[in-house]
This record gives sequence, structure tokens and C-alpha cells, in this order.
Amino acid sequence: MENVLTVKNLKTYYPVNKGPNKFVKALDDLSFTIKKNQTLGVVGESGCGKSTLAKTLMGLEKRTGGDIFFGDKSFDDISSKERYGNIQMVFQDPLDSLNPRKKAWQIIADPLLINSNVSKDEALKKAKELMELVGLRPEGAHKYPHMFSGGQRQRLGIARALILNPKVLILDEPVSALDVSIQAQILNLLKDLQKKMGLSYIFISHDLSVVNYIADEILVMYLGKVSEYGPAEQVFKTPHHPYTKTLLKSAHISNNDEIKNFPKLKDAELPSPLNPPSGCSFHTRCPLATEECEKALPPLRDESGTLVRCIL
Amino acid sequence: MSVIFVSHDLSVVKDITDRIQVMYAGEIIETGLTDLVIKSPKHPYTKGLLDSIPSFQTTKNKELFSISGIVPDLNQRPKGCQFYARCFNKQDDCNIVTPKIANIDDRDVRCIHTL
Repeated sequence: MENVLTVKNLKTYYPVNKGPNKFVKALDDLSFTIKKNQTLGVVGESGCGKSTLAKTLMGLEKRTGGDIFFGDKSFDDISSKERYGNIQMVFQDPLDSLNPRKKAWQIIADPLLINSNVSKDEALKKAKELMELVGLRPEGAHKYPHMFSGGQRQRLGIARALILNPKVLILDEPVSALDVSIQAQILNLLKDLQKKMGLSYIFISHDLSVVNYIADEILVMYLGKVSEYGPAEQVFKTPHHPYTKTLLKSAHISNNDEIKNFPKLKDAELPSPLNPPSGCSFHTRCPLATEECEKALPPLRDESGTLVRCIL
Repeated sequence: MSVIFVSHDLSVVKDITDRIQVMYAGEIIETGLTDLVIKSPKHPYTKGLLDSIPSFQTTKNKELFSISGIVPDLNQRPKGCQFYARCFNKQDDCNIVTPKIANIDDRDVRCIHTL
């Protein structure tokens, strides 16, 4: 199957004031691919670079290095209009990400009105079609965001993301602001839309049971780098990286005894991304770390189809 | 120290609380020892919440259980049970009789047809 999105050695650095060559390496040498109809789950603590990844792929943040390909076309060779026809994003907070002064249909139709020459009537018609697609009544087209419930607002956000018919949807914590009953409705909707439209998802979340339910592949990030990347079944059932094991242990969801009894972290705090630890950046917290771990950054090694950045 | 922990994340609530109080539309609908309520919920809303959480055992291609609909408009409260419209276990008298909180199986529940 062809790759809808290919990311190669992606780097996004933020300059800081502490000196000319000081950077926060929010994304450092990230590589992955996504196929049609597939979902990549991205997990990791706050500050590990999940949202920078989303912004960089959308072009909202400029990358420092590496390549992004949509199909076989490079990010730099296509216009932003064409890019937005390929990739769209759904944000975490459904109310903050909707303009309170615009009506539902305007919010949904805006990407279409900006990126194509459709008439207002056509845009309204298309917006209503999308409202139906995401399970909203089209009669609500002239209502404002505050008149919708949390779950309905997230449906509006999804409709807006779909109006340009993208191939890839970035979902940045799309259900964390919703209560569990509504969360289940939105997850069912996302699965349904994926099947109908052949969409690929990048699903960013800190909720491992949600990611396990929706993702085909998992990317575990730590301080801007890949810790573990592979099929969801493997990464969550037989994790290799101590960080993945720690995440699974703290989520209390695994029945695996090795994970349940996995030793505690040496240090609860995430180290400053400004001065990341030498060698393996996880060694300051890793309960299994040896002296060797401080010396060099471990390369990604292949464990029957899963990539793991750990020498142990 | 005593803690009142307000959250919609049941997996966290399950881990750190002794007692749990489930609220719906401004009312307490089930309250009791956390283990008991999570293991054998008596109110259909509590059960619905618990069933909506994907677990590691959830089959990927199966649709998640979800409570249809949304909370009622608090300015125009419905008659009878506030959860009636969304309940999978509703019966004819549920939208007539306003349920009172009552002790059943070692916890308090606001439902006239408990599970």
C-alpha cells in the first residue's frame, strides 16, 4: 500500500535567548510513514514534542531539517493550498478553536471559501452536507458555537477539517476535553469516517487505552525523539523500551506482569529540554539505566518490526 | 488530609478515591464505596460511563458503547428521571415518577429500576 505521508529525519528546533547556538530540540530526527486508512497513535508526556509535530506537519511551525512527503510530493514543492487539501487538523479544545462570532456553517465552510472559488450558496450547501456526515442536524447551520454542546463542537471541528477532502487528519488530543460518554461517540464517529473516506489519522493523545483502541501503529516520543515505533499490538502488548513500559504501568491498563511490576522511575520530573541529558535522554529517570546509557545516544534497533531506541 | 477529587477520568478516580459520587444534571445519581460502584454499578448512567471507556481488552473493530444524546437543558428540566431520554433501561413510569435517592446494595442510587 502506498504511503500517504512520509516523514524523514524531521527536526524542529526553537532558538532560545541563552546563547547563539542554544536550541530546544522539540523534534529531533523523527521518521515515520502513514498508509491510507491507517492510524498512527503518538504518545508521550507533556513537553515531548507531540504538538510541535502536529504544527510542523501543518506548516504552522517551520521545520529546521528533514523532509515531509505527501504521497511522492515534497512539502516544499506544493503550495499551501495544495497542502491544506492533503492534511488538516482537529484541535483539543473544541470551543477555543471555533470562532465565537461565526455561525456553524461559516466555520465549516471557511477553508473552502479561502482555498477555492465556490459561491457562498455552494459553500453553505457543502457545509450542511458535512454536518450530516458528522452527525449534526443541518438545521443548526446558522447557530453559533456556544449554542452547541462539547461533543457537538468537536463534531464541528471535524467537519471543518474534512471540507477540503484531506487524505490525512491530525487529531491533537481530540477527546481529552470530553466526558467519557461523549468520547465514545466521537471515537466511533472517527472510525466510521475513516472507513467511509479512506482517511489516515495521526492521533495524538496521552490516554493509552484510547490510543490502543484507535491506532494501528504507535509512536512513543521522549524529549523530541522516537523511543519506540511499531505496530500497536506489539508496542502495547510486548513493549521493549523502559519508557513505554513505564507509561503502560502508570496507566494501569496492562495485564502483563512484567509491566505491572516494572520498577519505579528514578526521577519523576521530565528533564529540561534546554539541557537534555547526554547519551540516552531517558537515562536520568530510567530504573534500568547503566553507565553505558550516559555515553552515547542509542541507535534505533529493529525488534521484529518494532523500532526501539535502547541498548538494553 | 481529606480530598474531594472532581474529574471525568474514571480510571484515575478508580485508583485514588475511597468513595465515589456520580452526578448527572446537577443531581447525585449513585454514591458509595468506589470499588463497589465500579464493580457493580446500579444506575444505568454509571454503567454507561464505565462501558464507554475503551479497555485493553476492547476489540478494535467493535463499536464502543456510547450513551446516545446529550444532557437535558437545565432551564427546561424534563419530568421524572433526568436521565430518561438517554437511558438504555428506561421503562414506562420513568418519565412520570421523580426518583428519590435510596439505599440499595450498600450504596445510594437515584433510580426506580436499578440494574
